[in-house]
Amino acid sequence: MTSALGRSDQDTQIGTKALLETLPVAVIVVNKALQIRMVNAAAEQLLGLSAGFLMRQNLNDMVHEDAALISLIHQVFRQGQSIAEYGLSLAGPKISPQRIDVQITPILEDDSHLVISLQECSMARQMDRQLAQGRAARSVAGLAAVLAHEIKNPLSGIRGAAQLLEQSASDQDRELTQLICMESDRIRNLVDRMELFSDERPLQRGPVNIHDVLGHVRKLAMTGFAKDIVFQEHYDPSLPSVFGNRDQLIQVFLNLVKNSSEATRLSQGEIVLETSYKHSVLISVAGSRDRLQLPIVVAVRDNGSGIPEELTQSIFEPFVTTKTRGTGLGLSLVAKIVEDHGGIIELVSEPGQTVFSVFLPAHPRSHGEVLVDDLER
Amino acid sequence: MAAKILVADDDRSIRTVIGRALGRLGHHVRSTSRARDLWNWVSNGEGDLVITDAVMPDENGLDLVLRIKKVRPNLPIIVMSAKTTFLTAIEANQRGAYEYLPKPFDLNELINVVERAISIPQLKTNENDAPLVEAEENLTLIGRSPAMQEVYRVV
Repeated sequence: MTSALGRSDQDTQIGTKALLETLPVAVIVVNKALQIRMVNAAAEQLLGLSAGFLMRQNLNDMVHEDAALISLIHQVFRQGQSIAEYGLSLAGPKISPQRIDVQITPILEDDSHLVISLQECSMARQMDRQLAQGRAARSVAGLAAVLAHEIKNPLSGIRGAAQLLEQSASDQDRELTQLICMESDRIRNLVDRMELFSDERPLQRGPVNIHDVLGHVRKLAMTGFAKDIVFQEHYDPSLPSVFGNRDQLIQVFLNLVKNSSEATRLSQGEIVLETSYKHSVLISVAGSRDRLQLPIVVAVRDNGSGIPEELTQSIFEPFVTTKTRGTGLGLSLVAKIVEDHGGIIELVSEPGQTVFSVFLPAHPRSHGEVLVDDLER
Repeated sequence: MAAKILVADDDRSIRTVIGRALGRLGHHVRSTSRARDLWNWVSNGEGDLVITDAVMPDENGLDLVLRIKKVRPNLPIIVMSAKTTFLTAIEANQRGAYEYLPKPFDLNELINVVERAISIPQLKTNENDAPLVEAEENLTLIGRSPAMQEVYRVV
């Protein structure tokens, strides 16, 4: 503190310590030997260890030798410039493995110490969850391809045999043969939907005007299932093109809007389509050094009943649904397509407001920036 | 008009159903589980109509359509498939199939298609006349699920 105000300087210092304790971000101060000199409450919580214990430790012994965190700290000591890293994995003998966002900052007046701030990595977590959802969808995809063939063939036989019987059946029995046909059709509908997942052709991608896509989706929705819904569009007109497949993106937002419109059935339905540009969202892809930029954010917001909290974790998995008549495949298809695009989908839901946000990559040429930089730090 | 109809499908229940249904209408049905038999019959000049599955153990039904059309361009072929993709339908039509039926089919619909096919005395001579091709545009993924087709139809 270099404040010229003598007395309030004292106050500020006391205030600073209290402030540090209340920060939700974990803060750790280390010296050049990597001995821990200070921790706050959030750091105790994140690492699951007490301040008393931590203050006697050397960070070198705390984390695994090859940890990226240690080399980043050395780099900051060497170069005197702060570094931020997202989605870093942290693990050690006493620390359970987790992904974190890290910021390491030198202290201006004291080059023998630096400040490490750590935060649970929400983006990385979503990424992991997203990847897991993609895997689930793909296993269903493999299954669906086999199922489609193996179910529809016998179904043809069953349905056809029922129709043959119908020709000579009494009126009373005809009711039964028709029942067989109707139930066969129900199974076919389910298999048809599952078959969507068996499409594993590589994604044909190009520049896509996302506002064009959303406009098309809104038009489709308003002439069909969302006739009574009030739509609002909040678009960022300067948005670059998405790097994607137009038809599949239509499918994604059509499904999200359909989902929203069904959730608002009981209230005066309102759906807001919103686009924005987020410059700084860099995402480390698990198992790779690539950093992907997903600057285009498309949000579908509704004022419906919301998704029960216990379902928000699993809502993108196949067969999970809040609807009594749903098949639970719509949102998992959304998750699969978004993942095929290298994107991310995020859900925030409470009664009266549910927002699905889809983060998508920009088309390289429309953008002038490198989207994937694999430069090592 | 009684016709001789050749059926190829590796699923026995389907052969039974089609055989009975068309037999009741007075047609003579000959059926097999193998593409090879169908090819032999057709190249011997047998049959007024072919009903074939798109997927058979010994040959792709769509390739077979192409071969049959080369030797007997006027023989109508109905292609059935358990893969309900627009691409299969489009491909079948581009190769000269008379009609495409997704499985499971409605028996009455099958009968209608069969009656239509055999009542045309001289089937279209221009094989490149593919009636379904225009459906390809814009329908790639969106048209695939029944719900989406419903949506699409309203536009």
